[in-house]
Amino acid sequence: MKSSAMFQRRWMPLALAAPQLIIVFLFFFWPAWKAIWWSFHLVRPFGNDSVFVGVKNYLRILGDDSFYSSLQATLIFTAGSLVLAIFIAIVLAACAELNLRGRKIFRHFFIWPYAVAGAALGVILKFVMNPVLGPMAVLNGIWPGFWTPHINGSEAMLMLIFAFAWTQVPFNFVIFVAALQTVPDDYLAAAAIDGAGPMRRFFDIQLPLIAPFVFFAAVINVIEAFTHSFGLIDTLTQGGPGGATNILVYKIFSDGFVGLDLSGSSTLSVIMMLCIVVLTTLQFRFFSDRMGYER
Amino acid sequence: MVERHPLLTVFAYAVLMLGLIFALGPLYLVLCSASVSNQQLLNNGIALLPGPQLIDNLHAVTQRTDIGRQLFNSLMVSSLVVIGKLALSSITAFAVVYFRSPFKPLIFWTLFATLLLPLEVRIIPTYAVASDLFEPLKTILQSTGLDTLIASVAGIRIEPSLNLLNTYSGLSLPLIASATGTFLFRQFYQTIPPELSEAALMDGAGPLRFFIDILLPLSKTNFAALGTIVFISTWKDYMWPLVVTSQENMRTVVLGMATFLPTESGQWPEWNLVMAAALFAFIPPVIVIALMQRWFVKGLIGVGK
Repeated sequence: MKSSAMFQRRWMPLALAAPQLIIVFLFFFWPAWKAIWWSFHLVRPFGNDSVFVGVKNYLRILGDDSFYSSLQATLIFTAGSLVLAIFIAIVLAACAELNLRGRKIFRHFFIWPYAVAGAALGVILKFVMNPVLGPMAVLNGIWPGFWTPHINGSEAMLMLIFAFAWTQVPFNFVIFVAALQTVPDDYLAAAAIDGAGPMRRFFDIQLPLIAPFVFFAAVINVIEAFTHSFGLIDTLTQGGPGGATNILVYKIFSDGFVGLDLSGSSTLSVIMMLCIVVLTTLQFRFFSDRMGYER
Repeated sequence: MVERHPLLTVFAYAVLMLGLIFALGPLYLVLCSASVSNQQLLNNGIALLPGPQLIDNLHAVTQRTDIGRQLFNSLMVSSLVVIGKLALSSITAFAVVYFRSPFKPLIFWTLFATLLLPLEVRIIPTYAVASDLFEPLKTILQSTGLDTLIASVAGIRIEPSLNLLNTYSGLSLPLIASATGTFLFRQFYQTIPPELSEAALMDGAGPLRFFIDILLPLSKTNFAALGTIVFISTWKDYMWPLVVTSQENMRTVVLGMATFLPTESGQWPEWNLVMAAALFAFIPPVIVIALMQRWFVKGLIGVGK
């Protein structure tokens, strides 16, 4: 860091940062600490008495089948929506970067879905994907029982994956378009002179050069799938049918607020926190190595 | 691009058109279904063309719930979070970048840690904190025995407690408590040439003077970009308002729309009204994106959330 022109004050920066530090303490560190504390105690939902139980909560969670089915659902959901959202966004960004008439208009509209809250999309799909109304009703008319997401777990999961990918595409698209614009035109021109067609240029030049951005978007997508999928799930499937879409963030909520199992829910929080810590450090490592931290 | 390829052009247009249908299709279907009668939806299934009843349905939604109040709440919370986040992040980033102080690493790593644990994951303890904000203070008082001391000396029991449930501060403060914005501003300040602060220093300007007169005007773009993105993500938030509000009049519009879904299983939903309520929930942020396009994209690239 260039340090030649810094103000020499000992306490002033602390005073300036104090408002944010206080808010962060109250609404981040205190609850985070509470989650860790609760995960080592047996907490009663009402009243203050709690008993220290050591790692018993962890053993209980790790010995519980519903944890593993939730973990499995989380992995399927995350991987599925990740691959889909990245793939669609790359294809759209690559096409929107070709020298086409009206590409600005496409770029404009492709980011509109970002405005739609997951919860709103859930409400919408509850109607659109309804088995007795809409296009699925027609298919069900031809093949009875073709589309039954309210009783068929994998169909419900499929629906969630598509829906969540839809909410993630705009972000990825914006990132990839920006990334493609960093690819120097000279490279592409030189490749073209050497006789490389558009496909070849894409796979041999553009894609490798934007790979760091793809990785960046992927990590963000995974964290989003871990955390921001709650609204969509709550309005669309409520974790059902039969727990098929009860991914961890939903389980944390329902175990805690519905089941009033504060210890179990906090233990899940801590487990999930560890996953996100790993992911975030991975991302920062990668980025400070690759791009000198100045994206 | 280098050369034109008629086949590729056709292919690319086809893909982009498909993408357009993919992106806007659901929104179009909502608009169509929100503009017909429920009878028509039940008879013919989902509407594929807009009908004449849009205004009636929107009006019916306003009759059914206090959507005006919910829109106001969403606007209020989103604005509070935008103002809070912009003010705190720009000031804290200034403190981290422009000073030489032994506390800098402490501030930096304290804030960095907030990136590691999203609100959704610590939802239940955060709810507990919001329901009793002064619990840390109470704990300190009790564990140090200060409260019994005060009670015996002054004769009053101090039981500090502040409940933020169903308040605007409860709705907005936890959303402000993350440091993404601080890191965005930090990154931007680091690209500003050091000559600028050297010159300011030579002219005898103090740090605050430098911040207000030089740094703030330079960061207008960052304010617009971060502000847009924070506004939209706060508007879309669902989980936190769901837990922290129990009173109808404190609901945000995204939450209000979701409660429009029928809860009793025997009840036949009025889908046209549900879709009209969904329009209320997503039209305002769509307008913001359409108007703030440039800033929005800058914000996304910069923040990376």
